[in-house]
Amino acid sequence: MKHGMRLGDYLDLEWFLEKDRILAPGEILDRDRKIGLAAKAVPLKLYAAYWLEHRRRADAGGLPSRSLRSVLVVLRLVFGVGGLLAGISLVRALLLYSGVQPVNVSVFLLLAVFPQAGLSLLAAGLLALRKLRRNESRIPLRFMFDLFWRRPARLSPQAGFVRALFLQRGWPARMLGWESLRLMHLGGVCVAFGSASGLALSVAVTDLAFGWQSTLQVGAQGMHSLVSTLSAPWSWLPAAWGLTPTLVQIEGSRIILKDGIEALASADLVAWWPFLCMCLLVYALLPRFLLLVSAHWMLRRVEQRFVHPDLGRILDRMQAPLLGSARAGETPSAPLPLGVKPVAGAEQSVLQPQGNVGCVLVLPPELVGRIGDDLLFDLTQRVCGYPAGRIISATLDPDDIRQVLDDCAGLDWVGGFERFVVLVEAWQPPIRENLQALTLLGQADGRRLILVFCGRPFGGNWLTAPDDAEREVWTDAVARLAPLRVDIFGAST
Amino acid sequence: MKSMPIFAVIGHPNEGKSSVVATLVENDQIRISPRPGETVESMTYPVSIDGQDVIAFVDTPGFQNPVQTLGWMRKFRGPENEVFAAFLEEFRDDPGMAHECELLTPVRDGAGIIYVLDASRPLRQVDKAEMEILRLTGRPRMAILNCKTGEEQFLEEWKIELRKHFNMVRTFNALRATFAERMRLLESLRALEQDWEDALGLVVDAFVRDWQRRNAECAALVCDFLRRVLGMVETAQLADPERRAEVEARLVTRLEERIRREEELLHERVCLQFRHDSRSFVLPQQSVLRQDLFSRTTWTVFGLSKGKLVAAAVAAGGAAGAALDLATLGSSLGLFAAVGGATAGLAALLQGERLVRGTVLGLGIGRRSVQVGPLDTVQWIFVLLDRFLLHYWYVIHWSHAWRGEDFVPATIDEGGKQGFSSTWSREARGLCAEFFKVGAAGDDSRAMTLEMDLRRFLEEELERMSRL
Repeated sequence: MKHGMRLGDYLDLEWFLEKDRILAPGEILDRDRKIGLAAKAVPLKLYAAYWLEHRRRADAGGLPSRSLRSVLVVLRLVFGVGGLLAGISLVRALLLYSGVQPVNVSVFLLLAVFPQAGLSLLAAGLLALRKLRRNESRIPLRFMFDLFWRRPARLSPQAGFVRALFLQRGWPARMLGWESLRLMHLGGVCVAFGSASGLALSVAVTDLAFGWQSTLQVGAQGMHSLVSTLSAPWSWLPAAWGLTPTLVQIEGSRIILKDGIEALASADLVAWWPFLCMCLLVYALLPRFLLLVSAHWMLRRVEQRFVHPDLGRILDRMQAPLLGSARAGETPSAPLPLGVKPVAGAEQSVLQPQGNVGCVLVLPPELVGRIGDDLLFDLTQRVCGYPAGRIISATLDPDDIRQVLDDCAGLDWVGGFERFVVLVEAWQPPIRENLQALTLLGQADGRRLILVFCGRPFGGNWLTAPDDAEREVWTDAVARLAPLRVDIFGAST
Repeated sequence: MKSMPIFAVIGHPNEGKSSVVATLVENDQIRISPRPGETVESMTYPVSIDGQDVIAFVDTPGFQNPVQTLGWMRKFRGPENEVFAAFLEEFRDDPGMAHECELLTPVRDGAGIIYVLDASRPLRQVDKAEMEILRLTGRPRMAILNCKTGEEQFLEEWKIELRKHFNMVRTFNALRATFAERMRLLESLRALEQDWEDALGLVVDAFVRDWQRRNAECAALVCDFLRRVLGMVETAQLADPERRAEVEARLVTRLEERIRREEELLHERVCLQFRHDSRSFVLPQQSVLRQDLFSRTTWTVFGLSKGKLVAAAVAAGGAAGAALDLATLGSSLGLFAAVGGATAGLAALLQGERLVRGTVLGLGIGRRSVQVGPLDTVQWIFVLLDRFLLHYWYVIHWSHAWRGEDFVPATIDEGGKQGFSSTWSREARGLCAEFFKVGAAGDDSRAMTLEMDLRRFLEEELERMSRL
């Protein structure tokens, strides 16, 4: 994926991801989706860069990329200017000529051209070796950081982050490796350029003479062969340009110390400088330049090929629709208001024994026929001391209860006290209608109201004990019916 | 213009209406109480996509006077379509009918109805009255059977009655509903009203996409966690070589504490991904996740059995060796792979439960230091992953309506191991083992490739778990 991100961008990306670690996911999601919606017109491949740009704009503080850029600018200046000065100094030192001793071409080649060419060759060889072995060249980062930043604690947060990242993760170190290589080759290019320009400048503004000497009996022919070999790369250029000294010129510039230079022709002595210039350009500057370009290209390739594992997450957040739900609170509960409204209705009576009535059992219609009469009699006997004189089926709503009261109006109660036992299915929550009905039932003087709570039917048993929560809910609800006198019991199996 | 679908969630008190809403909109903030009658006014919970409300659920109070309400409606002599408006007008100022007014107002305003009931209890007269009231509304309506106690004795009775009154009947336990069940419920809501089909389709798609994103985030979080943990080391100066054991013990404690903190952070962030308030999410009492990461129980329950562990280590060692074989252009005839696999397998067999190894750094001249870490045993990656996955399992099954009790997720018991990793394929286990190997060795470039693979695998695994 072509995303156009550079080392500095990745550092910023890591920086922002680190900052996100302390944010709530919802906050991150919200922000990234907003960025995603704003980036609708941006091609997908540039989403990550867009996200990064957006974060940079929103971030007021310093960024690691800026720290890195500052350091790189300084280093480039140091390497560039240093290289130029080094190149010029080197050449100037070799071009000392006071009219007595011409500049020795061999020494010049040996000190100014061959070392640079050799270093370039070495760098190219290492690159080729790395490519062949497919392994990574590691730069001693910890050593370098320790060397330059002896006290990491004194670094800015951004610089400290960059340092930690380079030390802990492989990919930034790998990119930094190429960046360092690029810096070194930049230095090399500047040295070569400084050398060449130093030579050209010296030739232009000073009087120089070049010659060669040798103790060996190689002769001018041997020297000419060497020069021809060296000048092969530009041999295709017109000879009239004088970029390669001729055999005659080589013979004419041979220095024999005992003879002195007076006998040598000036034209031959100055014929060397174009050749030396070309040597510097071809063997020092050009390889370095090619290495610089290759390092640059490799860096870009590594940056381009690198897909940060978290980019996918970011793109996901930018593209996924943001789901939201309101976070409204709710008002606290309040006791249900009670009030009785007269409504007429009727329910059937299940059991109507003759004689004095000790108590009346009010049974939910759904339980009629599901609980044996003997159990019901036992139940009323247990809770109020009398067996049920009458069992009436009625729901707990005001209409039904009114009907129950009407039906029981003419009963002859034992001791003159009305006793109503109400079987309540406590697993049903006490709704207002139920409480209204109980209020109706219990509000008369001389009437005793007994509630028996039963739990959920289980395994065919419909008279089960209620659980604690159900019992508590009903007890609380009934307590709000005060000043009714209500006795509460729980059914047990 | 099509209106936004609004669903009023209606029912008897304490049947789980708020729970259903909380689960559907993934909102931990909705007040849910085991006591009936806690919801006293209707609250609207919209679901928005990119800030735009697309659907809303209204949590309503329970019926308090269904029989009286129905009685009033039956006596109403005006135009049939004005019965609800007339009812609301009549009882607007009656505090006794406040709940009915609250719950019927959104219906009058055009909301669809989701009738929630607890089908683990018998059907009663009041329920029939409620159903009849809702039938009279003529609005699109669905009944949700929420079996709160799991009792299904009355389910058929309920279904028969509900089919008379509702367009659709579905079983949905708000406290146990998985993501897939939630989506199925939303899908079925689409069929209720044609005009709402598009909007609900949009919501379902958005939920599915969002769930995938959450899983991808979780996979990335756990990989990030593993990378951090696997590379963790603790070092200290060793002034006196006699005190090496003491220094090492101190460093081990410190390292353990750091790993625990990282794991807590991971779990917290997973909770937040699924919109659970980390304060409301509680691990079940009996959960093995309550055991310390470095306890014997954790080691016993999670990770791989000895055989699988050795196989995974062999695969990882073999993969590393195979890379060397490749480097020799095959001239080693796979020797490195064989030796690497065998060595790694043997190491896994012999390492036992050792957490880390203490190493003395330095040449014995001048300053020496002791280093503890990184994690030394391949089993740890499986233990850490199993703990993460079990936590994830709890989180995705922790309903937004759940407020306290425990539940036990389905665990995979295989040779005493209950972790998910023991059910993985050989390749997946090998991938984890190799990730551990390169992560602990600090081989970042290889770890990066493996991390991507592991992420993809975990994403698939989380998706699979979501569908269970």
